Amino acid sequence: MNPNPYSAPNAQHWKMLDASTLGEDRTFECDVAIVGTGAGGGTAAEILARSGLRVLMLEEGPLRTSSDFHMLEREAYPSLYQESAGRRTKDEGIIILQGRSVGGSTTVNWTSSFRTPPETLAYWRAHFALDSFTPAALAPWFAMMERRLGIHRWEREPNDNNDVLRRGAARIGVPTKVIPRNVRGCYNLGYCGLGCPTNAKQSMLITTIPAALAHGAQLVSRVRAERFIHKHGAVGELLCSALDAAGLAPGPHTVRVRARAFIAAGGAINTPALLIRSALPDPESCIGKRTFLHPTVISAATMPEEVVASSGAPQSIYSDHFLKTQAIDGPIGYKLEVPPLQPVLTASTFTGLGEFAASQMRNFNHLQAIIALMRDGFNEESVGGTVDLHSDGTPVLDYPISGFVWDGMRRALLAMAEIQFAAGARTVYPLHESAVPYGSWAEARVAIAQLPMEILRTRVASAHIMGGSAMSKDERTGVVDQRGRSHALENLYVFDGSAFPTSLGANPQLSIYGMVARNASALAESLTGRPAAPLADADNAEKFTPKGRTALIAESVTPTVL
Amino acid sequence: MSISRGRLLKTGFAGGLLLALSACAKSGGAAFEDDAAAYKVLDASERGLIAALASAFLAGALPVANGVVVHDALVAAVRGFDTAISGLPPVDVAQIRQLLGLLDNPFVKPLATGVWSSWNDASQTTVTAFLNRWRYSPIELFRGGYDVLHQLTMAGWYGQDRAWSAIGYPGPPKLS
Repeated sequence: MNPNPYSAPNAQHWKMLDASTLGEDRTFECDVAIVGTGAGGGTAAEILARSGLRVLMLEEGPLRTSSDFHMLEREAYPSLYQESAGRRTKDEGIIILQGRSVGGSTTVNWTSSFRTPPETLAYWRAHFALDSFTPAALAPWFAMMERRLGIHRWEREPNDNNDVLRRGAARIGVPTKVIPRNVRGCYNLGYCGLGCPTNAKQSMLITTIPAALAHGAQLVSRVRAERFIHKHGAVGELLCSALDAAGLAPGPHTVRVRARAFIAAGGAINTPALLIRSALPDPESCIGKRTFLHPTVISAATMPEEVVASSGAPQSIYSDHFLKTQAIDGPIGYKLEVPPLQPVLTASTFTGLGEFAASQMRNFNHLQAIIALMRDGFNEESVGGTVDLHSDGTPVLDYPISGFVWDGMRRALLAMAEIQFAAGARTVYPLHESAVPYGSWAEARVAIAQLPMEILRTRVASAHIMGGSAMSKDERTGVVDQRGRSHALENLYVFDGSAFPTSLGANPQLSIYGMVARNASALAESLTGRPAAPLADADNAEKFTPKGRTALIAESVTPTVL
Repeated sequence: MSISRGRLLKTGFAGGLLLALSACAKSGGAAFEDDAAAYKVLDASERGLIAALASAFLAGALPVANGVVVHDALVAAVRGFDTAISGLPPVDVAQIRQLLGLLDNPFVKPLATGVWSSWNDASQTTVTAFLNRWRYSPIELFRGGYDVLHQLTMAGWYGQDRAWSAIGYPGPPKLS
């Protein structure tokens, strides 16, 4: 088992503060203040701290480490997820899984690590003039982060839940591949979503954040960034609330942060909300718009053999076949993966009640599920959602699902059922209030074609929240430039998934790591006048330098035309 | 249910009439009783409501002895619901309590739910019929209300060790 870095002797010297314990208001001064400690904030923190800058990391959630991770859903959801894993869109129709502790969603994600698909980058270059987003320009940054985080194709056998996808797809001629995962010494337990108890998952919690702390960075948890205070085109101060003892609402004390540069990295939904509360100049009303979700539908199967989908690496097999059967801006495509099935996630996601629901749960060890993630944002009929604020300033996402997206969801329910029957499923049950378990592909095909595809009838979930503070070369179509720098305020940056102008068509963590590694390195260089420190390979400390790094930084620090 | 004069005045004539009617329709069910100190959010009437809903949502899942649901298990389900909402941000808790308030409002409840008796007295069949009415409602708001209650009830029960043996889940693996 890998050691818990927060229990190591040198961790006693790290500067960490739980803001809910503050007895007074506080003011911090630093070079760079980072709001959020997920994929974006964590990556930026290590690069900036290693480059010699004084870094302050701010996190709304608590600091929880492997000592707290007991693989219990009742503990993990309230402490590690936004709204106890019950965050929903405004009409309640989409359930959103998003992290909320030190490490952000990387503490609870299922470890799937994909580079941004080349066709997605091509679309960004064509539609948002993001000319520095070429596969070749990003490759060294992806390579650096892959080495930093131990990302490699999963070498063990997939668990049976994943194997059903592999076998069934193969039988109907749909190719699948093995998923790259950010793990070192994985125990193959299957509980990544509840916080890795063995420190195998190379989340920000155990990699970049401890490295930043070891380089003098400071971490303040349970503090909510309320708004940037700005004048004359720059942020002067960040105003925050220290949360109360429960960590759910602002307590009596405020925290003020003064810095040379400010990074918003609270993730999609929370970052745009912070920008809205800060009243950023936004003449074209771009902030919070075009928020994407990879809205996901689910097909459950009962297999004749035991599957035990609660156990084993949750995601190891995927198929991009249905992303490639049509043009990227044609009818919506989708990625196929599988979810882990632990009792709470299963029972609360499965539709139905009473004896029907109970009978599904009695099948627990025979249940198998496939998910289809819609690649939203590449067509004018898929414009995503809009971040709005509740009266207390907390965010809510309004995401109406268009007929264009429903069409893809129906095709996906059909494809998943066909795959499950091809793998030998006894019954297939599309998660939909009007569906029942179907006994054959012929029966399922007829029934699924007739299901009313509507919100709160079809089960829809999301674990990939992207956009809302989109990059664009032109300030009329986006919030930040290709370097992640705000079009409105000169020392404000967005380094997280909210900067993506569309969804990705792939699980987002590695796309965020790569983009932020490049942009944070450019920021470090602009603040220090020296090349940024590369992230050390864990086994090969300080030796690893991505090829062509200097040239890439030179390119990315060239001011873009506003 | 006893109706005090004060309560009649407080709820007004129509509400009082409804209370009286529901009292007449009483079918011998017992009010849900549990130690108030065990709850972070739910008040006594909300607990009664959740007990009625949980009996329907979890029918077939809650253990039964001599033809009736084991009271301890129902208590655990209601406490589980309370735990599930106690970790939510204030704005979510307020919305859920608003929903529960609507379900317990004597003026709104009969029309919105089709349930005329008190929740304590409503049969499982009646409550299930109400839940299905909302589940399949053409009105999105009702479907949303149903789904939020569904998620919280399921999470509140299946998060507990005592729910696992019935589904064959051994619990998390032991790490040495």
